[in-house]
Amino acid sequence: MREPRLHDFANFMIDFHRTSLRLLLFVFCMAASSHTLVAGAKGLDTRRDLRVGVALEPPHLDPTAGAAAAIDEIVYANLFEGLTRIDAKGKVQPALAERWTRTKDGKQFVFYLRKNARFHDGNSLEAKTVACSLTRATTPNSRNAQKHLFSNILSVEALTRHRVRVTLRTGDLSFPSKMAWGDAVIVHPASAPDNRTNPIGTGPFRFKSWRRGASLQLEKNPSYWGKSPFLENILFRFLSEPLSAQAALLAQEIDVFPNFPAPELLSTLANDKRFAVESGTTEGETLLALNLRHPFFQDLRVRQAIAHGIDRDSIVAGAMFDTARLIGSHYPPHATDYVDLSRGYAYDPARARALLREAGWGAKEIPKLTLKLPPPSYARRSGEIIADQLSKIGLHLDVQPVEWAQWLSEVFRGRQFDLTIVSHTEPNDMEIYARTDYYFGYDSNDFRSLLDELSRTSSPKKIRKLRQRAQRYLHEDLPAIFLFQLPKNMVRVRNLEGLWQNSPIQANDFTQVRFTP
Amino acid sequence: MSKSSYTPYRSVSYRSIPCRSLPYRSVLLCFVPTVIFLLLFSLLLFSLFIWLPGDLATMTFGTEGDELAIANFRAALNLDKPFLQRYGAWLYAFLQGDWGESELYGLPVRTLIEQRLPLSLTLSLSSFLLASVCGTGLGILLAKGTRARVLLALCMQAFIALPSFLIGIALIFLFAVRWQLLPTGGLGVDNSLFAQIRYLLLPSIALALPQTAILARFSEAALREVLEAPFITTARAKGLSANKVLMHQALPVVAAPILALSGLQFAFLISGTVIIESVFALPGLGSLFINAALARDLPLVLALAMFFAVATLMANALAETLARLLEPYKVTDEARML
Repeated sequence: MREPRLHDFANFMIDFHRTSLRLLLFVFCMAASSHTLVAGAKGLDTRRDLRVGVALEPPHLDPTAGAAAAIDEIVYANLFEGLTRIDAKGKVQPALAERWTRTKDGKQFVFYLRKNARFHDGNSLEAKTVACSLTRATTPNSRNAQKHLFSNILSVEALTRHRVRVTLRTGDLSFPSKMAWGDAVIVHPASAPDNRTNPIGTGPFRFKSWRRGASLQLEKNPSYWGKSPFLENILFRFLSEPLSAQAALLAQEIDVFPNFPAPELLSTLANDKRFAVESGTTEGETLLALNLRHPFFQDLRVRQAIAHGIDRDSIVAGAMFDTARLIGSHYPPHATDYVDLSRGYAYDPARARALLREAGWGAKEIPKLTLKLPPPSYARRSGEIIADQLSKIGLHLDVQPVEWAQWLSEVFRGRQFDLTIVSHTEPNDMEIYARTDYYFGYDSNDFRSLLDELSRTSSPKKIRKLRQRAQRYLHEDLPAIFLFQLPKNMVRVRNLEGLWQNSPIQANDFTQVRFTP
Repeated sequence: MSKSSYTPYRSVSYRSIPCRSLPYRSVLLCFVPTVIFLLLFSLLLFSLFIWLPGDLATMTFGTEGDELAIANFRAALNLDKPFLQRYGAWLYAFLQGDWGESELYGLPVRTLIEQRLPLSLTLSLSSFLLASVCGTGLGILLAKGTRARVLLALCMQAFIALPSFLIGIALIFLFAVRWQLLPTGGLGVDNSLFAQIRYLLLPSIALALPQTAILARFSEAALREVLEAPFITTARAKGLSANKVLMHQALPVVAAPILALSGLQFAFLISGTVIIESVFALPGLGSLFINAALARDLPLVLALAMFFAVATLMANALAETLARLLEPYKVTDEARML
């Protein structure tokens, strides 16, 4: 028998080349020609199917067991509902509870549940379910990331089949708004353990499929208690790379990107006639947070010097491409009772240097400070500009980029930082300045009593006055340098309507979305 | 062996492979260091990972969550146990085939890997085939000398120099946005093979281009060197055509080193697809690995790292064995006596 020879191998290689090149050519031609088929089918039912681009994929889909905003951006109002909900304007609206009553001191609330509400698996919503769902969040093993929403609850009782009474430890008139958070949605005890991979809620859409890492589908819930949504299907595609997101929009593979991650690409998209680009606001107050435990920052004049040493207009231009709004205090510009303090602390390096000298910090005595920047581009870009601007008043910052896990453990929990930039995206979160153990360590008795008074007030007129006073107080006392409100930059095809322009809560509510002819 | 053959590689025989003579010993010699290496690798990875700031608890609870809840969470997942105890427990379970549960995704690690492995394997295999076929083909073409040589060489240089990220984006904007022939990325909702090919074509090309260029440059250089050798002159003197000399005389000589390089490239293609996965929004193992590492999901990170390590070692071993099989200069005892 002839032994195998090397030129057999060579011949094989030549043949292999020829065949595989032919094969490749064939595949490519087929792929290209199949495009026309797909394109032909495209026009059929696009009116009822929405394709949405989101930057981050949620790790799982249970909003009561994790802090990831990406979960709420898919499930809030679409799949899961709470007793109440937040609407596009940030107002509390009835959801699973059609109405509620309270005692005058705000210690007891009675919620009247919708009688026809059902979970996607057929289980009906009863007072017992609500009681289970709310107490579940307070158990020690619960992974709810917003336990403070429930910490004031003393007991939850089912009065009748559709009436539930919540008793609080201390009076809290804002309790219904707390029940509107994504972390407070109502889940059924039977399906709750599997909600991470197979979410069962009461919303107008139900879970259809999830191709991890690529896409997720929701479909219309035929037995929804409320008004049926216009859309039949929603396809979410996870596009973490901004240029790929832009390409998917340009190739018309997605209809809307509710929160486009790269402001630098918006002008190109805005010039395209097929798209509408809208810049709304979010609840994200972006701060240059100072570690107030550091002796350097304890002097108000030093904080004022930093505020005067930063040109916030050039930060908004350079880091956010003019899509963000300046703020002067910790309060969103779209909210009622907002006071515009954004023009305070004008850019004035000479004044800043004078203030530092006045506070007793000569050019050589200023300590070396670190600025730790988490991954989002708003933080990294603003940080670089700020470091440059502050070096002109004699503050030399050591800029350290960190990832989220590091930021959470070192900065947020470990307090090992001097300065950091982060957006505080929770709604109504002025109370963080009343927590002395919070990461920046602000401690002001005046402000605490102000907020205390606010939580006990029920007259709208007085609430307005107190909220404005609180904003002015923070503006003057500068516990942090207030930079800008994080924008919600939405890119959508022109014939799509019903989307939230602003983002009073991290959510994409698709219940009212429809294509116009 | 036939007596009529006078070609210089006649002495090659499969008997010349050293492993053949002592299979038992050489397998042992290969196997034991590999196992020791993998153990050390896992230990190093485990300790480095524990040393990183932040753990799964900080990522799960974010900026909220009270200390008690976090402590409970840590205790439930044994995150508060001493290092060696944790490593021992992990190793014990891992060796028994229990890869643990990913707390981040709420699924067993094995399921997560099984979900994404087909895509990663298809992607790396198709780009590997593409790269080897086009790479050696272009190498031969370049060595043979063509009019487009300068142009081709320039292209090759560009593909080596450009980051794969840029190549991927350029391909997307040309094929998906401008000409609208192929999708920009993702996997679509259709599971059929044909639909999937459309989605995998561009990423495979983007992955294969730099590897093609490297392989083409390498095989060209190797072929040119061999073409200077005396036995080629002899073959030419005997009147063999230029093509025959190249394909039948020179190519077999360089086949072994080309294969060795391809092996290395395949090892890279298994684990080094992260950027292409993110550009084309594909759910492969690379992006899973990055997400797991950023969220500090230790069981998932370890299982994936071990998987990559074993795959790399196997690809290298395979390439090495193949290269040995094709080594033309291995002189057998029979030949030495002649």
